[in-house]
Amino acid sequence: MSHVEVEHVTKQFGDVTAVDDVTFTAEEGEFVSLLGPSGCGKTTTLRMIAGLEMPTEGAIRIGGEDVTDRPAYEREIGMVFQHYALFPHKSVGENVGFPLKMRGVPAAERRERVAEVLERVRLPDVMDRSPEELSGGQQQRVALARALVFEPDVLLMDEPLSALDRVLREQMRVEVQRIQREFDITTIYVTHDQAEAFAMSDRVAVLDEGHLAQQGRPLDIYESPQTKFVANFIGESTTLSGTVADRDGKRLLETDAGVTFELPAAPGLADDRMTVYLRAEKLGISPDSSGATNEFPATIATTNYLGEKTQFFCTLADGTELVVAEQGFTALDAYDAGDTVYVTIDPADLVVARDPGQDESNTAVDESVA
Amino acid sequence: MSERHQRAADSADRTGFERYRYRLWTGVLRAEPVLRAIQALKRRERLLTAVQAGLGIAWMAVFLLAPLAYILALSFWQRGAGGVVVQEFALANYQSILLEDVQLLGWQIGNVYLLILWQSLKFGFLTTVTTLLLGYVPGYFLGRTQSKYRSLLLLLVVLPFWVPLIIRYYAWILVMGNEGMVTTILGWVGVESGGFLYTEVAVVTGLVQVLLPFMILPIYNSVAKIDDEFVESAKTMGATPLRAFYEVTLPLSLPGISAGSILVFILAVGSFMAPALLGGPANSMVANLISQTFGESFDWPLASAMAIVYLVVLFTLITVFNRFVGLEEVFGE
Repeated sequence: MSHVEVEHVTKQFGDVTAVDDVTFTAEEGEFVSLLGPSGCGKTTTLRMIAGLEMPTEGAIRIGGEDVTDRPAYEREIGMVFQHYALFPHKSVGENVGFPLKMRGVPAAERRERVAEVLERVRLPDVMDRSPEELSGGQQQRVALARALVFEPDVLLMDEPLSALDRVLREQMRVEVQRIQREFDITTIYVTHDQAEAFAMSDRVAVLDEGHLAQQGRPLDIYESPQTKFVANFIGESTTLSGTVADRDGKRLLETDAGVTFELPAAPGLADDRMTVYLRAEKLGISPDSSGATNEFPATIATTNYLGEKTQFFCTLADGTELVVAEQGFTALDAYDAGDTVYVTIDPADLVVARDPGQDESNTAVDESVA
Repeated sequence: MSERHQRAADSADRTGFERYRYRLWTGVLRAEPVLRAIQALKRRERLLTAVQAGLGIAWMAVFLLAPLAYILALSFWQRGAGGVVVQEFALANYQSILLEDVQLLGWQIGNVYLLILWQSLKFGFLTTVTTLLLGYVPGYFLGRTQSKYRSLLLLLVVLPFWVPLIIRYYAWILVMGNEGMVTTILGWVGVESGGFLYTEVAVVTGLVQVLLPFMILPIYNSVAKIDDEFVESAKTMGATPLRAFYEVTLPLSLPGISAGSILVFILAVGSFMAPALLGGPANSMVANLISQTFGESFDWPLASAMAIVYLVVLFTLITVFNRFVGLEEVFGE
C-alpha cells in the first residue's frame, strides 16, 4: 500500500474536464513530480490532494485513509504555494507557527518548534521580521518551514520555484531536495519544467490534457517515452512513423518520410505500423557519408549555436523537419544553411513504439518547455 | 501590420466630425510655436516638474487654502449692526462658542455649540458602527464572489446615488412618519408607536442608508485584493473557514474597514440634510447650527469660528485614529 494513492480521479468544471481518470501513487518518503504544460491538470490534481478542490469522481487516500470527502483543514497536508502565500500581516515566526496555533499548541512550545524548524531550513534569526523584508529565496524557505513545522503526512508543492530567477532557482532545487530528504517526507511536486522534475524526483508523472501520459523514473521517461506527447514534451525529438519489413534477415522500418531504419531487436511484426522517436542529442551529424547503418541525408535549414550545444534544424527529402543537437560543438564553419549533411543514429538509441496512428505524427519537432 | 499602420487604419474609420477634430488637434499640437514650447519644456525637466507641481499647488491654494484662510480671518472679526463684518481682531467669537452657557426662558441648557458638536460626533460614531456592521457582509461577498453578476451587484450598491439625497430623506419621512410603514407594521403585531420621525433613530437611520455605499465599496476593494492563496494556505494548515476568516481575511481587510469608517464618519458628522429633514429641534448637528448662524442670524464671524473649531476637532480625531490604525495603509504609502 502506497502512502498517497490517487485513484481514477476526475475533475470537471462545468463542461470542461480538467483532470480525466488520473491514477498514481507515492510511496512513503518518495518525491513524485507531476509534470506537464500549463493547462494539463497538474495543479488541479494537486489541489484535489490538498482538499482545495473536490474530485468529481475517484478516490484519494493518504496513509491508507480515504480523505476524498474531507476538507483541507482536516487533512494533514503541508502545502507550498506558487507565490508562497506568506501572511503579510504576521511576522515570520507567526507565519511558521500558524499551523501549530491551529492545532492548539501553547505559545511557548510553538516558539521553540518554530525556531527549530527555521534552523533546519537554514534560516535562523528571522523570527520577528516581516516576510516582506525577506528575499525570494528566503521567503521560499519560510514557506517550506511553515508547511513542515507540524510534521504533515504529505508535502505538496505547486511550482514553488517559478517565481525565482534562474540561478536562484537552480540553487533552491538542491536545497528543496536536501530539506525533503532530511525531513524524509512524502512529497508531490507540480512543475512544468522538465529539468526541475528530473533533477529532484524519484518518479515523474507526465500529464497531458488531463490524462496521465506516463509515469516512472526520470530515466525511463526520457529513454522510453510511451507516447508522442511525452517524447516531444521531454527534450527535443523528431517523430517518424512507418511500416516494419523483413529484408535479408534484418528487421527494417520504412518510414513515410523515406528514411529506413534498422531496428535493434524485434519489436512488432512485419507490416506493423511503428514509430521511432529520434532524440536530438543522440543523432550524429557529418558533412560526408560514412556508409554506417541508419544513416540518412538531410538539408540544413538553420543552425543555432547555444554555447553548450548546437542545434541543427534540418529537413528530410520529403520536407519533414528534423532537429539534431551536438554537445560542445565547435566546427560550426563547416556547416551552412542549405548544405546536405548525413545524420546517423545508433540502432540502440532508437526509441521505438507502436504508432499511435495519428496522421500528423510524422512531422512534429517540439522543444520542451524550459 | 505595424502599430503605425494600425493607427492609420483606425483614423480612416473615423466619422467625418471625428476626423475633423483629430485633424484640428494634430494641427494645433504640431504647430511650430507649440512644438517649440513643448521641446523647451522637455529639455528642462526640472522646470517641467515645477510647473506640474505648481499647477496642483495653485489649484489647492485657490480653491481650498484661500477660502479656508478667509474663514479663519473671519472667525476673528466681529459682527456689526445688521450683519456687516467689522474687521477688528478679537477672540470674542471663540469665547462665546466655547465658554458661554446659554439660558433660554430661564432654563440653563449649557453651551449649545459644544452640545451640538458632541451630538454630531455621537451621530457620526453611531452611523459608522452601524454601516460597518451592515456593510461588511455585502462588501466581503462582493470581494470574494466569482459570480458573473458581480458588476451588476456593484452597480446596485451605487444605484441610490442616482436618486437625489433630498428625495431619499423624504422617502424615509414616509417610512418612519406617524402613519408610516414602520408604525403600520408594528401596529399589526400589536406594538403601538407614534412613528420614529424627528428622533435620533430617524437621523441615524437616514445617514446609514445614505452612507452605506461609502463603507461597502472600500471593504469590497480591500477584500477583492486578498489573494485566494492566503485563505487556501490557511485552510491547508488546519484553519476552519471561520478561523481562516478571523486570522487572515479580517486583518487583511482592515485597510478597507478603516478607509470606509473614516469616510462615513467625516460625511456623517458633517451632514446637514439628514438632521434637517429627519431630526427634531433637539437633533440638530453642527452643520445645521453653522448654517443657521450664517444664513439666519447673519453672524458670519461667529459661524466661521464654529467652522474652525469643528475642523480642528475633526482633524484631531482623525490624527489620533491615524496613530492607532495607520492611515498610510488606507491611502497608500
